Amino acid sequence: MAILVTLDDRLHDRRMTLTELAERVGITIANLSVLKTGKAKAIRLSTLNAICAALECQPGDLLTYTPDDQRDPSS
Amino acid sequence: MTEYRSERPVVWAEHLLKILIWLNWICGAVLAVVLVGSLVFGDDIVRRSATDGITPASLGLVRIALGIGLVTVPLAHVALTRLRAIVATVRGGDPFVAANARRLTAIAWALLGIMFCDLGFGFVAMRNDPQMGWSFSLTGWLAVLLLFVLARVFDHGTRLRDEIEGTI
Repeated sequence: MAILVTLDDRLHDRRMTLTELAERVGITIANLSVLKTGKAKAIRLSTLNAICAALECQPGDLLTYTPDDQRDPSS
Repeated sequence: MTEYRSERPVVWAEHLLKILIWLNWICGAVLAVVLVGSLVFGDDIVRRSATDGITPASLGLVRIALGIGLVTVPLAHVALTRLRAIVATVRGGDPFVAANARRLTAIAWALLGIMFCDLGFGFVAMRNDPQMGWSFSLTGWLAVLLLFVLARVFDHGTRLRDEIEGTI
């Protein structure tokens, strides 16, 4: 998948844990982990809205597009 | 407690289907024995039952009816075993799987075959003796249609669920 979820970086910027975010957005930690690790197939706009509201960021701050052939294999 | 209550009919359905599968094969065996008996002892049957109106022609029609009955046995087996597999997935807690859509389609085809056998039996019954008793079953044909539609709905539903899975 060329779309990467940079949730970890945003959480780090906000000094927030996944548990705290889960409580704020009302999504289970398990589902947020799926999102964070890039295993999610799709994200609902309502989820994106809740995360953006909690982290005070834009959707573009959470998602990046990196073509597979340009991605660092170590990442 | 609630789970126990809701699961009981499913367990009963599983047991009932198991019995029906066995009964179907027993009926098949009985039909086969009678058919073979009518072939081996055909002359004796006609001679002894001549006063009851049994002729070689009517015996032939009875044999065809028995043959049609035999054909329905494997078809009913397909329908019953697939239905049992569907019930097992209900019991397992996850019936909305692609396999069940395929099973429903198989049941629909089997029932369609049974309905054609029923038409064949009706043709024989009307030619032979009104006492054989047959009437056109609109319900059966509607059930076939319903099953085909339901199978498509199930197939579509499972594909939708696959899409939704992994959506956060």
